[in-house]
Parts: sequence; structure tokens; C-alpha cells
Amino acid sequence: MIATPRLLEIADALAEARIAYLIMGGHAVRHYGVDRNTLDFDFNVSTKDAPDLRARLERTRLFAGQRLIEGPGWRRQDFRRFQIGALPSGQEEWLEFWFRNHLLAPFPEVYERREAVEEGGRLLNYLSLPDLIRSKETERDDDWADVKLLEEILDGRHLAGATDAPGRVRALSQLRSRRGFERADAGQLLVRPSELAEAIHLASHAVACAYLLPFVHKAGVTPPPLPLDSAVQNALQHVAPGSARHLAVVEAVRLGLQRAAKAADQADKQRARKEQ
Amino acid sequence: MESDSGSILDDPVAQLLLSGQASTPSEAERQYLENHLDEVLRLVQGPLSEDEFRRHPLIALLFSHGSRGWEDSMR
Repeated sequence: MIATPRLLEIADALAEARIAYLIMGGHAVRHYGVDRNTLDFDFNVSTKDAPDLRARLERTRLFAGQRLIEGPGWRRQDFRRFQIGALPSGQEEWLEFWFRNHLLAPFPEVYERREAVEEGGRLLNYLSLPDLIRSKETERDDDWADVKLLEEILDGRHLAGATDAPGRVRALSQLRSRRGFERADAGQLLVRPSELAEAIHLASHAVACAYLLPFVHKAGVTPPPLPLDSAVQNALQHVAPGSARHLAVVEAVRLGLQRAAKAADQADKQRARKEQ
Repeated sequence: MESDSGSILDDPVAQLLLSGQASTPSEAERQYLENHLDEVLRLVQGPLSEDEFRRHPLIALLFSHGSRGWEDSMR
């Protein structure tokens, strides 16, 4: 989906202020193909740009002569937000910046993985799709609804590249959605023992491992140590690949990961509040 | 989940809502699922036929909260 005109204006202002940025939040979700109406503009920026951020923005042509109103914050070392306007409906427009986020690697690392897109003669920098999914693993259910859709899109991208052995291995090793799994199964991607062996060795996400393990077992391949607990791994070695039982175990693994991620996000918020 | 008494008070998901432990039906269902993951594994290793397994209320609930299948996404 193309960027909204307002996002383009703001991206131009950030470029004018020489602030390297990555678009995240609703506008990034929109970029990857999930329709979102969002009034907030969320960015990941470097901690080195944090101290004089407001002053630099207020010197840009877009915000010239405008005093940006900073919203109340309880973790200003990590996150700041500025009201940049209000729509005719009265709804407020906010510009939000994450400098540090426990779900993301430091800015230079995620910036290396960015997805740069040219629109209207300028480059827009988005958080990569895997990093965007990671940034959504919060305690909020709305974010997990986005994760579900973004995982399908991520699988779709990988499967579109599964035209040779390395592409198939890459797609299999990163399977995250049931829709992606079913497409891989229907496309006979889960039948070659050597590719299954390579994929299970590369897989690092527990859901991908859970999708692959019954096929790996059936192919007679010995799996490496996996990020699955022993009861789950034992169950997966005894289910028919692609059966309801197999898919139920995958969903149980997914739910367990969600529960752990929500707890970690809550713990991070508690830590930040204590440090206030 | 297995009650057939017809009373909403016997429904463990409804109990999570009524007790205030969950604020929405979806949250209550998820909490119920999270508290019964061991039961999912027991059912996986149990004697139910594939069709019975699929139709078991806990498994149906698990799939309704999980990643959607190709057919689901077409609906």
C-alpha cells in the first residue's frame, strides 16, 4: 500500500532534520498490506537523536513556527510523543518516537535490516517485516491480531521465493502461519528429506520447528536440539504430519509463546515505571 | 466447556468473565486456553478419532483463536 500524504510530509521533515528513522506501528503495518486507519505516526530512531529531537523538528519547514506539544511520558528515556495537529473531527495527530524498545535490537542493527521504498522521489525507511512482527509482540491483543496477518504476509513473501532448493529451505525454516504451512504442504515443499533436514537446522522460531518436526520425523531425519519443551516435542514426533493433532500442537506452542511474550512486555513496563 | 446443564454459570469461560478475571469474551477464551494447554497435549495423545478430536470443544476453541487456515481466510 502506498504511504499517506501526511506520512510523506513527516518523512520529508525527518529527512530535513537529518534524523534517521524507521517507520513502525500502523503505517508500517499498512505498508506491508494490512489496511489500517491510524492517526499516530510511529518511528524508531537512534538514542543519539533523542536529546534535541523537538528543537530539530521545530526548525523544519513542516513544523516551522509551531510549538510541538509533548505528551506526558513515563519512560522518556525510551519513548517520546508530540502532538502535531488535530483533524477537523477533533481527533489529535501524534508523532511518536521509540529510542529503545525491549522487543527490538538497537537502532543501528534494525536500520541495517530496513525495507527502503521509493515513493514520490524520496526513500521511505520501514522496519523490516520480521522486526515489525517482533515489535508487535506486546501485551496488547490488537497487536497480536496484526501479528497473525503479518505472519501470513511474511510466509507469502518467502513462499514466492521458494522456486529452488535454497528458497524452499528458507521458506520452510521460517514458517509462521497456518496459511503458509498449508500452501507449503499443497506445493509439495515438505517432502524432500535433505531440504527438511536443512530447514529444521536453520529454524529458530518454535512455531516453525513445530510445523516441521512431524515431517522431519517421518523423513527419518534426526532433528537438532529445538526450542520446544520435551512434552511438546514428544507429542510432535507421534502425530501424523498435517493432521488436526499436529496443527493443534502448533497452536498450543503459539499460544504458549504469546503468553510468555505478554508477560515479558508487562515486566518491561513495570521495570520502566520503577525506574521513574 | 463440557457442561450440558444449560446454565451459563457452569461455563468456565463465562465464569472468567463474571468473576472479572477477563474483560471480554475473547480474553476469557484465551485465558481458558492458556490454562488448559496441558489438556490439549493429553487430547493429542488420547484415543479420539480425528473427527472427534477436531470437534472437541477445547480443540475447536484452540483453532478459532489460532492462525487461520486457507479455507478460513476465504470466508
